[in-house]
Amino acid sequence: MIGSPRSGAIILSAPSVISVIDDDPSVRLATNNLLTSRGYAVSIFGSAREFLQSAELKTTSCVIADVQMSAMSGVDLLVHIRGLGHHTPFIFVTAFPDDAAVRERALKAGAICFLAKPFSTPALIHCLETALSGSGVATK
Amino acid sequence: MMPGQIAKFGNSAAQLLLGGLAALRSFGNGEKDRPAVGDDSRQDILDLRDAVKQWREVFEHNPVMYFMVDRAGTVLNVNTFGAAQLGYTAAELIGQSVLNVFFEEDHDFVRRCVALSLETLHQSHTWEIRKFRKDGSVLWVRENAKAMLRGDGTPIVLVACENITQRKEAEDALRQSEAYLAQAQELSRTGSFGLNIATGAIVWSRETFRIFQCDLAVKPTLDFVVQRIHPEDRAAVSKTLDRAARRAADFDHEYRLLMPDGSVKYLHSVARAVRHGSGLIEFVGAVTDVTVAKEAEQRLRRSEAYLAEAQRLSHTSSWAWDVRRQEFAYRSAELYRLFGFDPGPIEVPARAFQQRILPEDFQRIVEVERRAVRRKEPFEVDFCIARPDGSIRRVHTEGHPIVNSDGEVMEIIGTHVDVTEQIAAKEALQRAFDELKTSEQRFRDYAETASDWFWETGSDHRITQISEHADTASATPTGLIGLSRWDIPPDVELEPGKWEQHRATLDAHLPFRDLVYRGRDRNGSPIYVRTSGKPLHDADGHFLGYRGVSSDVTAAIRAEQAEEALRKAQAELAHVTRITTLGELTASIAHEINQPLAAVISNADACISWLGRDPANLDAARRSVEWIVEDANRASEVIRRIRALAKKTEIEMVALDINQVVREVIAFVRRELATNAVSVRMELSSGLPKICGDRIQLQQVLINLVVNGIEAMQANVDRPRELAIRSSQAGEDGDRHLLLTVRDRGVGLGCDVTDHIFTPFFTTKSSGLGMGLSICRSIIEAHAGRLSALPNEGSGATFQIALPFPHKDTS
Repeated sequence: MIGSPRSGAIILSAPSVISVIDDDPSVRLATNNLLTSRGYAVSIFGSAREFLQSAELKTTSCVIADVQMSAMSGVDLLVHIRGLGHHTPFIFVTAFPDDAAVRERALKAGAICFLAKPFSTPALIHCLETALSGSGVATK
Repeated sequence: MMPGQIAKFGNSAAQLLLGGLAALRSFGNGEKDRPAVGDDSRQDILDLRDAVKQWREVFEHNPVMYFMVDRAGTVLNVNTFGAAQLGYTAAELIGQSVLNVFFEEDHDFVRRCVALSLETLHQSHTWEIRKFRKDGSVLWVRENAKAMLRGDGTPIVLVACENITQRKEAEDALRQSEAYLAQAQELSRTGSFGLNIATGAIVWSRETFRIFQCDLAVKPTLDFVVQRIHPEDRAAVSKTLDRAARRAADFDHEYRLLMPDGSVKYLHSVARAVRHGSGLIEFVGAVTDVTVAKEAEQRLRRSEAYLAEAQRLSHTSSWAWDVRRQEFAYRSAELYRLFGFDPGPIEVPARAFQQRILPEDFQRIVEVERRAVRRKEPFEVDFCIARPDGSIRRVHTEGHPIVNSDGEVMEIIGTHVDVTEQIAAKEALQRAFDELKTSEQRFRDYAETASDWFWETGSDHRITQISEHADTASATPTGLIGLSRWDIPPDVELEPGKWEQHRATLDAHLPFRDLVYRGRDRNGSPIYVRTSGKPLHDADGHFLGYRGVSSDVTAAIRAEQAEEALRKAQAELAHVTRITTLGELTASIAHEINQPLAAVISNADACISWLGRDPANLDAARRSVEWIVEDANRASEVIRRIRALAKKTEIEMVALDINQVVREVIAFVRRELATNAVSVRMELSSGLPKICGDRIQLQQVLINLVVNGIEAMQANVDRPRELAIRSSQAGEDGDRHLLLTVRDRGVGLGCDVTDHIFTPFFTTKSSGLGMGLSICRSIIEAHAGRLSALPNEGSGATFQIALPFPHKDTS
């Protein structure tokens, strides 16, 4: 057994919503399923554009995005959102972890984590906790 | 640095000497002042003088520094040893302020010490402080001081000092080395520990606390350590410790920690058993956080496995050559295989590799290498390897010299590609082309000269008549009258089944059509004969024999065989180039497998969470498992597709949805698209009828066209890198066909190039065999379709595949 029940069932008192953006439907559903089972509130989007047009753009506490998406990549989305003045923390997942240039660009743009698919659940939860604990500072 | 704290000191040699010094001083001073006394007193005085002399010796040369200072800090007296320790003579110090030998920043402290001594007469005080010598060097001393009143009632302070410089330096060195150690532990992620298993006592260094994420203020316990250890590793760790404790033996093991945040750490721990006098065993050891190395190792192992697999699939080996040592600095496992060595643990010297290169080739390689080193230029060279099993491999090599900071070539790195199969396939294709051409010619020749002939057989199946046509040339056999058909052909032994069946047909008096057999013409040359016959009956229905027609079909059969050989050669070449392409697509393949794997892992963890809820959410858990099954099926489908591409299979013509084929291809090249920042616009018409084709070969054509398109746009700066793939229907009823176009916005096609791009061995690229587009065209033509290339009006080129839809009556 990896995750102890104690660390697995954190219910946050604040209404924080995690936004998952991935153009692969099964990865999107699976991430949603995982986070929902751990007690998080989750919204899912199939593209960066879909997210940008949603109400969650302003209210989300953390974004988990795929890097390689057609039309607008995850890193471009992050740069765009920072340009709009939002400081939402970003976690990236990618199935091409060996691309050092993309990784560097993502971290430089302010991503909290850069995870390789398939990612381990503890690693994702750790990133998420880091993101949510710092969000009080980030929203100022 | 501040001196040590002031404290009262107890009985010591220094105190005794200090007392003696005080007595001496008061006596020495009094001697001159007092008048002479009586005899008894004189003797006393003589005794006293002796004592004074002795004490003075002690005072001057005792290896303790003595100072006597007044209230203002002026040195009233100092012993020779004391002055010498500071590099002065006594005369140089007496009358000067004692502060002169102290550091400026310590002056206040010295003043406070003197004041304290004066306030507490007859009480001893001690402290540690620095002084500097006449030559500037530092002297650390421990000072004992006591104030007392002189005969005239004025107070003085007596100070005795021991030199503790060595001890201080040792302490400093110790402190520094402890600081270094702590820093080294932090940097190397290594902590140290002491462990007494019998008592459970644990001592940790700061870094060990950090590794175990334990508060420095908390005393670590065995229970705490066990709780931290990953549940799967607890049994192994306790087994190791038990054994070590039982045998009082050193141990060395690796285990994992499960941290409160759910992350996993990998630790490597070594310890030595130390037996104390009491018989208790204590372990002293070090523990290193090797998580980063472990993860790197896993990643490395995985990427090495991918590389090895890619090298194996694409027959490519890589190497690095140390120019100075004339020896390999690195060589991949595939290189061993290429040269016919076992990639085992035994080092094979470079010489052994060189001996397997054909001697004249080796001479050439040596010259090419020398020139490359001299000119610092990359090179290409082709050569042959003779393996011990007698086989010859043909190799294409590319090498790049690596120049160091001094501008010298130290190493050459490069690749060997085994091109034996490609070249053999090329040659077979060329031969098949040639053969087809001569076959066609021969067929034409025969068609002009050959003709049919008629025959009759009797009721015993023996030939009774052969009617020669007026134009009949040499083909019609002669001298066959009276023979049965199976007496003539030389292939009765080769195909006994065919003849048995034929005789059964004849015995049943049934008609037969298109029996093909091998015979000889009237010149004795082998020919293929096709014959058909029907039974003859008289008016009463009695069987009389057969009557029929034969023709020489040698030319047609030969042409068919040549075509078959050509088809085989093309399939072979297509397979070889497909494998090469596959080697280049490993990253995309990894991506395709990683996506469903990520979903499987997330859903599995979600399932555990749903089950762990109170009450368990069984519906959500079941749904999670259903998704796991779907995702795992998807992963296995991806692997099936890759294996299908890599496999050498017979061409399999089946009904295909072309849009599905396109989508699978895009999945294969996703990595190439992402790396080159190329976006794909797909305009796939829905409701297209299925086409008839070989999935693998059509995928190969599309991969080729897409990769070509990506490469054509590599230089795009001001133009968007966009690839448009479009499927549609065209043509009138009866001539309906599928159109599939791949349109890039790259450099485009020059008019001189358009004519040649489909010719075998033509290429504009510096690498590659130049077979890509010619294979593509032959594959499409084998599908009764057409592949053409057109320059776009703006920029780039469009490749168009036209494929017929199968006729409805085709079974």
